[in-house]
Amino acid sequence: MFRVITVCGLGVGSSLILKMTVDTAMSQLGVDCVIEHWDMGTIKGQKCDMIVTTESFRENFAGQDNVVFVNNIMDVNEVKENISAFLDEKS
Amino acid sequence: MIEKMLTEERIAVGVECASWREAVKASGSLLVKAEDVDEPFIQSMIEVVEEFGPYMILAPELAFFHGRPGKSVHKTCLSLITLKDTVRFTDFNGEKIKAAFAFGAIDSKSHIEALKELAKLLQNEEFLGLVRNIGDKDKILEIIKCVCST
Repeated sequence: MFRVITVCGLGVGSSLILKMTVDTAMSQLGVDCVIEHWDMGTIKGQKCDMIVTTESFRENFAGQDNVVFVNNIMDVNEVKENISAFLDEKS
Repeated sequence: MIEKMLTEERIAVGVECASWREAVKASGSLLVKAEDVDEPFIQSMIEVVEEFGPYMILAPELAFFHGRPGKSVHKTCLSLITLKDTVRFTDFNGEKIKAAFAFGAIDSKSHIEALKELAKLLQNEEFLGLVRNIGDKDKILEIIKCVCST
């Protein structure tokens, strides 16, 4: 199963909201997946197919090629577009 | 559910804040006053911004301050302030806000239903218009009740 992790600073608020948005986006894209939400502190070493987080954390993921960045975690369309571009690149 | 959290005494409109730190304190102190959290939680919310930047601006001009779950949080809780004047995150990229939530969680999972309702609220244009423009508190409460019952 395609494994997705959403990440924010604490893994409490924003990553959970982002998880809901990603969930909607992925079902609209027709991709089966499991989504978990984590915080910046515990994400290191986690294996997954795709990480989704906000632009503010770009520096923290330098050198990683499985990360999708978004500006507005509430915006299903933006999240969907960015994930779609990532999936196209990977396939 | 969040209509029970975001009650009259946990909302303040037209608050004067000169900085984002003051906005955190003003929104957080509503939760302290309601005895949902203890004072140290406010500092925790400030530290999250200092450490990670203002990534908690969820909708344009609307922040969602939150801190680490821990012993200073007694229950899942939420407050809202609308600002008299725009506040900028001058020590970051000048991001601006006109309103802010403060949110306390007891762990990383038990508040998922509350956040689902909050997400619905943040997609309500009338609500966003009211909180960005020092709208009437009763109207804000009315929309919260409306959105949560659908």
